[in-house]
Amino acid sequence: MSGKKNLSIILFVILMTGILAACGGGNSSGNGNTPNSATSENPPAKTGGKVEFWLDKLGDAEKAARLSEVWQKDSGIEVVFTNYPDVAAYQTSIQQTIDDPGAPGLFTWWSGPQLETLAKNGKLADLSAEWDNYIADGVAADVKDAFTVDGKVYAAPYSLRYASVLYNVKVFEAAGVAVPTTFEEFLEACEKLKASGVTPIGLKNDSWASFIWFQQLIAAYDPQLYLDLCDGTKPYTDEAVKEVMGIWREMFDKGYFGEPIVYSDLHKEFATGVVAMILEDSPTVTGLQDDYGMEPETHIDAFVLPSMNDGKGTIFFEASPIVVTEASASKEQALAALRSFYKPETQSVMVNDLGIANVSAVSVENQTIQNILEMTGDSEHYQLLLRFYENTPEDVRNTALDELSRFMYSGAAIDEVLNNIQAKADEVFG
Amino acid sequence: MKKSNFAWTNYLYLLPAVVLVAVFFVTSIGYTLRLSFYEYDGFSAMRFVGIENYRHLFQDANFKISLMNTVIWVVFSLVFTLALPLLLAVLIKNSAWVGGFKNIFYYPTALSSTIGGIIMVAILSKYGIPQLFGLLGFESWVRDWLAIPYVNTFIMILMGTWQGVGLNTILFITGLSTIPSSPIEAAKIEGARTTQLYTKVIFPLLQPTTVVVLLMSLVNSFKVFDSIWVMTKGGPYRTSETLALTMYQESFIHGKFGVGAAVAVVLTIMILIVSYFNIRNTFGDTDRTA
Amino acid sequence: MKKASRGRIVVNSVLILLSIFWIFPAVFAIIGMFKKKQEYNLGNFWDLPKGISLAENLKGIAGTFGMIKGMANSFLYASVSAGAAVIIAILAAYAISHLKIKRPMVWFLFIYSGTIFPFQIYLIPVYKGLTVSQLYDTQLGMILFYTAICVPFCMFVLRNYFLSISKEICESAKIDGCNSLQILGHIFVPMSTAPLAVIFLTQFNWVWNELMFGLTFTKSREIRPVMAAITLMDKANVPVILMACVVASIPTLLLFFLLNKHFEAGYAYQSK
Repeated sequence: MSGKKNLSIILFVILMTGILAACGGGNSSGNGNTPNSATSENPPAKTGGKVEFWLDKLGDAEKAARLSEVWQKDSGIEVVFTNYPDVAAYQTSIQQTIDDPGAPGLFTWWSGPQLETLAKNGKLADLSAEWDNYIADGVAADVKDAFTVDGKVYAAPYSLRYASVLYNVKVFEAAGVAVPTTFEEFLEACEKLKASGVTPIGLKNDSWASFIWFQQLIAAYDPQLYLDLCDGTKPYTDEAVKEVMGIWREMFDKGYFGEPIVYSDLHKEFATGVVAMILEDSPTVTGLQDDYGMEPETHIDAFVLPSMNDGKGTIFFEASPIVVTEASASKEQALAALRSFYKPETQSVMVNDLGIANVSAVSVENQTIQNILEMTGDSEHYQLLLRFYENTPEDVRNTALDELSRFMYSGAAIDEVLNNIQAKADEVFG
Repeated sequence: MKKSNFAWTNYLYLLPAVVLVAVFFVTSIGYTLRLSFYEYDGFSAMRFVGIENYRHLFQDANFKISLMNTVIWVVFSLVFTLALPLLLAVLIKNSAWVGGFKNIFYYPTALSSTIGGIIMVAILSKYGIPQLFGLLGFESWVRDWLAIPYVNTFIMILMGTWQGVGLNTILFITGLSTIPSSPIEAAKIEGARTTQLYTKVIFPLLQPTTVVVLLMSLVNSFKVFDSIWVMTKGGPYRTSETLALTMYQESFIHGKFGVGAAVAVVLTIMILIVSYFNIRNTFGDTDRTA
Repeated sequence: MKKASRGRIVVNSVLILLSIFWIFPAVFAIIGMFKKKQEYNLGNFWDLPKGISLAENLKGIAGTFGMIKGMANSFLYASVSAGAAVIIAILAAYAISHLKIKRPMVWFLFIYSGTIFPFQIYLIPVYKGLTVSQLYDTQLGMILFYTAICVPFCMFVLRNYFLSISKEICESAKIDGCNSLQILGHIFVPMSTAPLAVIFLTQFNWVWNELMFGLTFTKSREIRPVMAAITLMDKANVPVILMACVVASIPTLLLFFLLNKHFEAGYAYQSK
């Protein structure tokens, strides 16, 4: 009996070794003629050492490899990417190494309270003096505010994402709908789309996503109201907020919103014309092109939700920071590498592979993203605001996300929702 | 003299296991217990707050939902991961194709929860099974099942059994195969009916296996994390969170490591109590005389 | 006789019905993995693949993800850790179930406690420990950790199994002049083929499929396990991910088939 067992274990090991050897052989021979070897043929212009870059954002190793390669060419510094596709793994790793010389020189983080925590504890290098370089390369100076703690700037943008209404061009054409220029026109468009048998606006089922339409509608009503809510100047129980929530509820009641569904289904519905519009950020456009075959301007384009009172349209942005570790032995290399991050070649990989447009001076292949970028630069008609998620204290945000979800999913009463958020806001703002 | 020397060497058998567990886990438990009395965001200095974290928990509506969901998971898991595998094991042992059925019910267990999750999300989302129901005329079923608050917990429990029953079924089959045959033969000779044979003879003899399966299922359902995290992340609006998810959410998403630790402590106390009552009787005399 | 055969028909049909539910997700995965990315994203899941893009998807796996290195690493971690954990657990379970020690239940609970905490709490303390001991991002560190986390379950299963081995056998062996280690080696281990096979398989399986610790306690591709490599693939390219997962599942399934017949190895030794 046990002899048989031993035999099968031996068999198993032999098989496994065989598989591994075969695969390993296949791989190494494959490597010989892949473009990967290009790095060794074209050594970087300057040899400036090496820096580790940890990130939780880029879950696609192939794209990471491409980015790392151009970045190295631009900076002369070898940037070693390490990906952490799990929040707990990432938090733990950063937390435990950040005071260590072995800490990564560069890593991505979250703006808002999380950035503040690191900055206040002296974990991050002060990048205030570095920002002139970034701005010279075309990073918008406004973004600085999102990364400023006590008057110093502690981060540079890893990704800027701009939220606009993406629409299915074919569906708009079929329903005879033009891009709305006023809020009334927007509502009329919804009505027409609904009449033509499509769901006007699709929603994704993500527990954090409930603020997306909230902030957009509040800002369409009055951008100042949005800012006042974020910093606690005005209460959520304000009559104006109730009015906006009433408008939102009415849109639900009229059937302008679809049920929240998993994002992959939502993208499918958007691409196949079941859903006409989604309020999403610019990188989504890249995904819709690569993964769902939506060609820019022929199938997909973007507009900004018009103001309710002929004011400027609001484009919300998300700024994910990239930071430099104060204690890291490779801090200098990190600073040097970051100076080259906004060079055209590196940023063209960012925008064309990932749909992330950090700088204005970059050639964008995707025309829809180009259109979004142009709108962000058109300060006559549009204004940029930092999105709600990072713009208000964490505790208020978390309560607001839950309460707004209840409003969206289960039709919770407006007064109840707003009172609950305000109760938390009272606690936090004091 | 000789006898006590003999007893001393007995502890050497325990040594490797005890050292490993002490080094890796008992220290972690101590760290977590201590952390649960502090306010800590991972980077700032730790601040002692006494039982504030626990007080906060028991006033938090989300914690109550999470506690409730945990109880639901535990209760239903008893049915789906204890009763079903036992039934499957008995059926498979009496089927015409023992090897084949065993493979079929086991294979999902060999897959990682990552792939299980990808498949389940795809199957349960609007364009998976719900769409099939739509084609059959159940139009109102065509929605994202995992996005329906409170209902999704039950759907996840059901789907969890797909990956969950394999191991327990194998354990029961192993148990059934290794129980001594003489009592069964004796009962057969006495003319016991099949059902009696199972309830009176076989199931009692299976008890060592049952204790293992019961306790492991209980513990695993108390700390269920992977499948929920992959399928709903505890949403929408934290309605499908269980304690393990709340712990994760508070610690790693909200950066409140003290509160997270407090959740972990509460969860552990619950598991310890349940475990204690489950295994106490298997120690019986040995422990009392010692 | 007639009644019994009718019973068998019921048993078999119930199992066949349930089997259909159990196989369904696999069919889904297998159909999916032959599709192209956009074909999968835009079509119905039951549509058959338009053309077989097997070679293309396989090439996707062999790309930059480090999947092959990951499989080699995972194989090392899973086989060594599961093996070591089984041996350590045999010793501990034997002591707790059959040797004279004080307070066996306390020792049992002590070792068993390794399974009751939500695993996430181990992240920070163990990370600290591994860094201090220079074991962070090393294969040895991973093996030690995985061994430790596998021991409690193995001990638990084996202890309960050992309890059912009668004391008389041990007594008679003792009279024959066997010491406790010999009794363990000559009587307990051979009699426990089935549970040993089961726990080795489950622990191998668990380590192989584990992601969170593998990601946290490593950073270089040379050390990271296979599941970490899979999570770094393009999420939108579901067919390639499905294919990767199927490939990554081959070793665990293979091991299952190999150990399969031992699950029912019974008390052959006892009856001799």
